[in-house]
Amino acid sequence: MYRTQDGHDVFVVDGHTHLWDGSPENQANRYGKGFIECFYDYHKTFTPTELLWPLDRFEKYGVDRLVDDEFVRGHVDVAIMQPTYLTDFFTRGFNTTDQDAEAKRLYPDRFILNGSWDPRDGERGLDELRRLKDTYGITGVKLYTAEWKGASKGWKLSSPEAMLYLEECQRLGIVNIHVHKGPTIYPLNKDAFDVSDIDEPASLFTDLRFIVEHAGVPRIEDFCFIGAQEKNVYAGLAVVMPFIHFRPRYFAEVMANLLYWLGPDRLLFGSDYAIWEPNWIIEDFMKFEMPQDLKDEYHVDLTPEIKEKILGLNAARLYNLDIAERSQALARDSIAQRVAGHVVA
Amino acid sequence: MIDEMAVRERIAEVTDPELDQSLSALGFVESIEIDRAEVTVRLRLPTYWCAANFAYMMASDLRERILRVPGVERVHVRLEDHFAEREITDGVNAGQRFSEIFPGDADGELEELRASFARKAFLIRQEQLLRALLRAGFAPEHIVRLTAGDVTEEGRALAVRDAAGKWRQLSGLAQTWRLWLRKRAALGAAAPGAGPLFTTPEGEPLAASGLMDHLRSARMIRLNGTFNTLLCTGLNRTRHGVDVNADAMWMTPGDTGQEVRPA
Repeated sequence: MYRTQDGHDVFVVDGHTHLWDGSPENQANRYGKGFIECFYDYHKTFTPTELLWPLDRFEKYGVDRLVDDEFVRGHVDVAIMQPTYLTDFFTRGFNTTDQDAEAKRLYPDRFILNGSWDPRDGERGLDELRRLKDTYGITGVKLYTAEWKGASKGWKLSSPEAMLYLEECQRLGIVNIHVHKGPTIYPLNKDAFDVSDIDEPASLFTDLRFIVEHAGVPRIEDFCFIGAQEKNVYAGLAVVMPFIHFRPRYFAEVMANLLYWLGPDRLLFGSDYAIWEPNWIIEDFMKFEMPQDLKDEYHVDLTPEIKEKILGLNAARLYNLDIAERSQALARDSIAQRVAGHVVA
Repeated sequence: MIDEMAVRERIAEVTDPELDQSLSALGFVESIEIDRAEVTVRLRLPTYWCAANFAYMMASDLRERILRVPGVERVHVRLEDHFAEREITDGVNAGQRFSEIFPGDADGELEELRASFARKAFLIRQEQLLRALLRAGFAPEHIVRLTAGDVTEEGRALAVRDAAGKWRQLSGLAQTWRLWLRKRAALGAAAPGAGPLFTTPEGEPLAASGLMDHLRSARMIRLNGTFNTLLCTGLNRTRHGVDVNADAMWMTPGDTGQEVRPA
């Protein structure tokens, strides 16, 4: 909950968080090492100096730290956990749904657990998807089209194999399809981050919502074109958000474009924790004002109401969260007392 | 005796093809050594995993430019801290084409890539010029009718003839103008003649009514370039301690005032 200066409470859903294990002990090969180091470089490059983490903490931080950074200090009410399996790089996987479930078990009202699938797993993968639905009741998945598997260096969401999985999602009521489309990450292939495979599934599966994580940056023109055409395409703002601190003009121009092409109801805040902590990003965002020249040219703005949509209301709508009801439940959990203690301190 | 300044000037002309910025300004050139008729340049890119075709273009462009300096007989470009450093270093210094180093990858794709980057850079530089004209009060109807005779460099400023035929000075814009001219030439366009000066990359005239749409799509191209530049220079700072002024790159003149530097 973010409290504004005039005492208004803003309900915050962090749409993009992880509980990963990138520790050396879990690294299966040099790619695993390279992957977590690349994440760490992103962290160091776009985090205010005084908030930098040491590498060993970044590699593996655990549930307590996550809870502290997200809910106690981070203004967040509910966090959506986006898994990143990467089982070719990490022995037990980098960040699987089963790993995330530990946090959900401890704090059921604080987390939304998402699953994942990979069309190259065929029938076995469909069984696994059904298991995730049965076990955790997931309503969303995070997909990684750039993930390596054996000799394959990625897949397309528009492939016939992927269509089978999307049909199964529709059948199971897994309606929120988050797809990682962003900057290239070592050692994944650049082409696999191309956004062009979103268009066709989005127009075929109108009941599903396609949340393009990282807004397809740096291919924003392709993404905005698709977003303007398909009303069930959303932008996840993870990676875009931290630019607000060092490069507010760049952030403003990207936001002006997203607001212009997609509108304020299809943008979802995400910190990409633990690459970045939500605390400073949310504080900067609440203070942020759209520059006048962009307001004039695009006829868009970041009013308090629009910020509230981006920070929580939009995600709450996608995940069927009743905010009044959930706020009451959260006020009673063990984290709430720590939050109160933190605010007083 | 090789003129060291001439070598440095040639090196400064080589750009990262995607970022359209000089390798020297980006801080990618680690060192330059001159030993009699031999020049050795070390090239270090922000990440270990920069695309091999990009790395090849930069390394081979360096070699080709330095070889133009009188007296230079041999050039060694050393790509360092890169997954394909050995293949690219050996191949480029032997004067090999990309397809000879990496069989299966077509050279034609490199040319296509260069053409696509030239098109984007053209649009970005043109956006900067056109927005500066709009800010100075030029009407879209006048802007799309400007010809080569209506624009001239005056020191660091650009002089542009307004609708009443009077010359108006736009300060600090000559550099952008020159970059735009260079990108225009890279697209294969003939020198600007009597027709409209500002066109699409394909040479089609712009309509006054469509000017804002044109600028908005150019802005998106620029935002991609800005992102890549900020990421590459940021990672280079993080990984190698190389700090460069990324603010000056890709920003529309007049916008830079709103940028802040990391604390």
